[in-house]
Amino acid sequence: MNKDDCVEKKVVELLDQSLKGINKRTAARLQYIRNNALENFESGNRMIPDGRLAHIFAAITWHKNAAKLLFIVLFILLLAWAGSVWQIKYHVEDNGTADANFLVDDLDGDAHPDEPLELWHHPARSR
Amino acid sequence: MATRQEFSDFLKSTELRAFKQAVFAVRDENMALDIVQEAMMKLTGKYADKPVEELPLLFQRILQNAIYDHYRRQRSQSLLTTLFSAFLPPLSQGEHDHYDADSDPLETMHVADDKKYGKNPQIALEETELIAVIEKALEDLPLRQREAFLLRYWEEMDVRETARIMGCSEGSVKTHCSRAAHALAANLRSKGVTL
Repeated sequence: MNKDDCVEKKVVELLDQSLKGINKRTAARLQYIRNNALENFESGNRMIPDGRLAHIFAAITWHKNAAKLLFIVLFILLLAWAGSVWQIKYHVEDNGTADANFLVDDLDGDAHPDEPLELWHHPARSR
Repeated sequence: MATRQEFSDFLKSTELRAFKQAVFAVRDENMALDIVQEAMMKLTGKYADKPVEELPLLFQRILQNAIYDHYRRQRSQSLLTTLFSAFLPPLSQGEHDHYDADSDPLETMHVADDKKYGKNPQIALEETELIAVIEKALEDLPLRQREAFLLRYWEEMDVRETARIMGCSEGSVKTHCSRAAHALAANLRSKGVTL
């Protein structure tokens, strides 16, 4: 048996002994913490619902989580929309034209990439 | 579901070891007490409906997470302190006095006395010194090795439970434990301690 294999037993033995050396003040604080935790246990127990109430609480939690997810999806959509608007706006400002990269493909395809924006046929405006 | 008495017995049996574990990890008794408090409050507040057999595993998991949280908080706090310390005004004399004058109810709390005065003083002194050396050696171990060592040997958890608490594989636990034991032995040997 390796010499190092015995070290853990002796270390644990000494650590157990070291617990006796914890000073009174620390022991008192630990006791105080434990008492607080037990009070917390009692108040927590009163709050744990059972039966029908448990189903209602579970439903509320489920809806809260669903609402959070929905908000996240909506936020991502909003970001995507804002990004596309920004891209179109600055692209047009830079070039003064609607080019084939995104406008013509997305709409009716009448506009030539080199045409100025004013001549570009928007489906809504055409109607 | 565990009763109040079972919770009380469990916390009583584990609080000192939990405190020591936290002290080894953060090297500050007040911080360690905060961590133990956080872990106990979380256990009793959120897991009051768990059976008593699950408590040791749960408590250890919560305690280790609380220690990691402490490290994270400390990292962000130290960054903020470094950035903004120049803008903070120094505490005035009156404020220092106010802190010192705070009365503490713990000062008057009664605690059962332990029987540590029955030993030969020389043996007691040697033991105290040896314990101090071992505690220092434990503090010097890397976090994961110390965690594995204490959970496996001091908390007497098996490899599977230790792996669940540490969130790693069983092989990693064995490796950490073996390295910790070797490092401890080497560290103690270098200080002239033979166990």
